[in-house]
Amino acid sequence: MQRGEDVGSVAAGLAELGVAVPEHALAEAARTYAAMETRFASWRQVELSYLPPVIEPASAAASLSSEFESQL
Amino acid sequence: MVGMPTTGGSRLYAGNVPVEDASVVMRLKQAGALVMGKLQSTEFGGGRIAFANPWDMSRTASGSSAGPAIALSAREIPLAIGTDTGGSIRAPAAFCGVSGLKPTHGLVSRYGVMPMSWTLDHVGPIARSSADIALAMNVLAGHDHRDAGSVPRRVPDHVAGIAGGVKGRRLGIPRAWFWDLCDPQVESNARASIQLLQEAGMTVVEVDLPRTRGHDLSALSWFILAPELSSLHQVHLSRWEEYEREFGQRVLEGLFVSALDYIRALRLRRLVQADFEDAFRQVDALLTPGAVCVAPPLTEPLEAEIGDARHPLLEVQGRVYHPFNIAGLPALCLPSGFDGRRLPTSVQVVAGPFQESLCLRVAHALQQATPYHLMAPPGFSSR
Repeated sequence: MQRGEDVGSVAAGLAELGVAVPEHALAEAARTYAAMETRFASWRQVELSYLPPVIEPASAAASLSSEFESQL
Repeated sequence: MVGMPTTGGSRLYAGNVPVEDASVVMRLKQAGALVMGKLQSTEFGGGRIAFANPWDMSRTASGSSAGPAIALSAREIPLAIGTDTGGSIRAPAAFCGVSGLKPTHGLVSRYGVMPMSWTLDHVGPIARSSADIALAMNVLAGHDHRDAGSVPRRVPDHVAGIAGGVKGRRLGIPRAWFWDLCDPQVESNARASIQLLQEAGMTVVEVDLPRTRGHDLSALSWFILAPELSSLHQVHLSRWEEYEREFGQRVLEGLFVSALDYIRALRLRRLVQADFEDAFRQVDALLTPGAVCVAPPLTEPLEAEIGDARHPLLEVQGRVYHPFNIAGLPALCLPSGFDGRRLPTSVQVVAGPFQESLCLRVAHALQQATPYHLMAPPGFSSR
């Protein structure tokens, strides 16, 4: 299953940008990510193949609103 | 605002003075509004929310639109503008006993507003009544070619019809998620609000959200917000030390989210929207608690008081708000009463896309039947 980055790879990515962030800050961010990733895990079981591709907010709102025009 | 220091609450923008107004400010000025100034927020709308609540100065007003909600509650101003990415208009409104609307995504221009998440950001009015919000929406709403997310759509008169009553309309109460973690007093006052709307002629129906049942909607919101926030702030990363601690951490968190998970989260929005589409085929509006708790004490960290239990506020507060940022639906929080300590409780009225008028009509019906929106905190006169 897809997993996110770890502290080492994030630090390396930041280094490529010339950015240095304290390791303890990255570690704390990693802990927050890990906690949220646990809460997100069940969403990875949801079958996506039937879902449309990413939608733009404006077109999404417009397509939804057409369903409810008659309710005005 | 043109000519006024605009720092986003951050050292990174110290000395920044915009050369033009945000679209919402321009529209207000064109309508004759007197812009009195700007109010306290958090760093880029995502920092620490420790602002004193007029109802009890030892408790928080939440955030990030804390200043607006506080000033309205304290009867200093009649109208304010806030932003809402995960409840930042609605939470302060709920805790401070005022009314706040997160409009449909794309209805109110975000041009000139400092962003957090282009998918979840909304701009909206905060006031002391649904009638005042309707007045504001007539000015704020409408297409803006300078905002790529702005929807070209005819804007109705939000004031007309607000007093038309709700007889014959259907009110949906979601079965799960919104009530799973809710202070008993908040829930009790919400149930009383439902009863009032029934007496006003609404038919109350329980609705299910089957596609998203059992999944964590706040986590879904986070997997959209975190990487978008990190992406927006990539340009500032070389100055990371200048962020305040809380927001600096948030900027780093999204760096851990994989591209596939971010894209997955965006595609899952469609499921959330589909659940609400189905719900709005059965009902005209939804009602949920307006907050999971009343205003918590100003402790470190902030903790939500839910019955006898304590939960980190930032982990639970967004539960009632995130689904409507994800789906882009209009959601209005308004006062529903008080708890035993005279702290405001709140309900949230939600309608289909671009159905702000219906949201406002339901809220107005409640405010015609209750005095809560007219009541001021101790020491602040009602007007």
